[in-house]
Amino acid sequence: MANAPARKGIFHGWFILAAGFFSMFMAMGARGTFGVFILPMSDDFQWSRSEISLAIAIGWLLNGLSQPFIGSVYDQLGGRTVISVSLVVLAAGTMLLSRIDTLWQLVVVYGFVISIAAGGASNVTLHGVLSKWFYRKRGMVLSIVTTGASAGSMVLAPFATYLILLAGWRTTWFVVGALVILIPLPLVLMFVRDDPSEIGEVPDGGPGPSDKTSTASQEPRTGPLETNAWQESFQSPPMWQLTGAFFVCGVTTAIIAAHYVPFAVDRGASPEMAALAFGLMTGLNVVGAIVVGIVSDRFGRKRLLASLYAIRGLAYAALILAPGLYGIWAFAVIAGFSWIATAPLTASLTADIYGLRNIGTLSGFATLSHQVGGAFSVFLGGVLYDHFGSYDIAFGISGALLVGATVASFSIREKKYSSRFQPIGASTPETAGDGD
Amino acid sequence: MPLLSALAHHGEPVDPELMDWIRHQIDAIFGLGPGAIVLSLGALMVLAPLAVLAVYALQRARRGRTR
Repeated sequence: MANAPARKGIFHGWFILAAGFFSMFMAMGARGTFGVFILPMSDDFQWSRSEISLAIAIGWLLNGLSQPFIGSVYDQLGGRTVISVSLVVLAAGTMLLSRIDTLWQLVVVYGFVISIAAGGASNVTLHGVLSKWFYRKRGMVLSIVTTGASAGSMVLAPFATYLILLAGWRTTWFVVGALVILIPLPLVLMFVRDDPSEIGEVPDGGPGPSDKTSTASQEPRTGPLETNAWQESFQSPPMWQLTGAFFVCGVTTAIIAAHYVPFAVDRGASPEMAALAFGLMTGLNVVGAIVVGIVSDRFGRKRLLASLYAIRGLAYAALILAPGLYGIWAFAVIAGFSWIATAPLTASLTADIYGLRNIGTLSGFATLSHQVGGAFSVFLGGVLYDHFGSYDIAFGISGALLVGATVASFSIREKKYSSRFQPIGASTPETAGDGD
Repeated sequence: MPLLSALAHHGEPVDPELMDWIRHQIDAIFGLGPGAIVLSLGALMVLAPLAVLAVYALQRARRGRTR
């Protein structure tokens, strides 16, 4: 298969990337626009913010808890089926939101249906499919598809905001649901194939030109930790290192998403300026993710992953130690580059080390640990603020955890375990490189 | 409102305060009405995937001719 001749024209994997990007765009965007519906819906129904928060919190937890299950279903049924069904359910759920009249309906539709369905058309499944189609450019491709989530929120949120002004929140939910069907579903059905061999293709479209500057292998290899059962992956250190570091990613991003604006206001920033700094940070994540993805394909991934956690740790130090508003802006710029770049790098490393047979399940567990870390940190951040009257302790703990994540990532023995650094025919750790 | 804004991470529900600020900025910069903005963003969302489909169809047609 690896020697199949490359077809002329655009490699089919790029069309799958486009389908994945728009799936992520709509799945995360549709779910992410909920914020703009809060005020009009609470005005209509006299719901309090905390009542609406209940639906969001349930959705958040269920989205995280369902990831390993969705990943497992993906490993068995393939991405085309899981992503298509998820998009249909997501679209139906989003349209149903236009008909709700009671809080329990919101909890069921948003908290259960939409949150679980959105997980089926997001990182866990899309990273799995694209990892099978791309080997040399895996890091870059997974980064691009991940940025679909940011792009979706950036476009859909203002779209929904203005459409609510024109037509009301019920019509807007219906339109957003219709867009979920119209935009990504045809692309997924037309383009997504679970394996390149299904249509006579090979990963990356064929062997690439020799790249003497790259330190990694340019052709697909098998790593020594590839197994048939996903449970066996947890018997080796890299899975724990990756999952543990991703837990810290969840801790350190969620606490900022929750408490950054109040912290900035405490420091003397206006709410508008704090929101602008937060917006700058979320905008920079697109740039950071793509740059990191490209670089990681040419060189190793673990050093970059460790560097991202270290940079985020420095950003936390700046946030706490720099006086006045300097810390706010320094954090926005420095941390922005690392914001979502850890997700594609973690997925790429998981695929490189453990292979593609159980990639959905393993990515699902990593995502679950991320969400649990996020829930834990948001709660703890609030408790510590109430107790000490300051965010310094909570942010200090986050910074300290990032030191652990940096060490955990840096100590992954990538050259020993990653398929990208294996010699041809290597199948045991003893025959593989041990240079890291 | 920490719980709500917490969910802004990784595509979770956007922060209403940030959205309000963005809306005011868009109004100030472009000075367009809501209808024009909805049409522009809607066209962007629909035309981008259509362009991908068009490229794919062109490639299929070209491959068909060379066979």
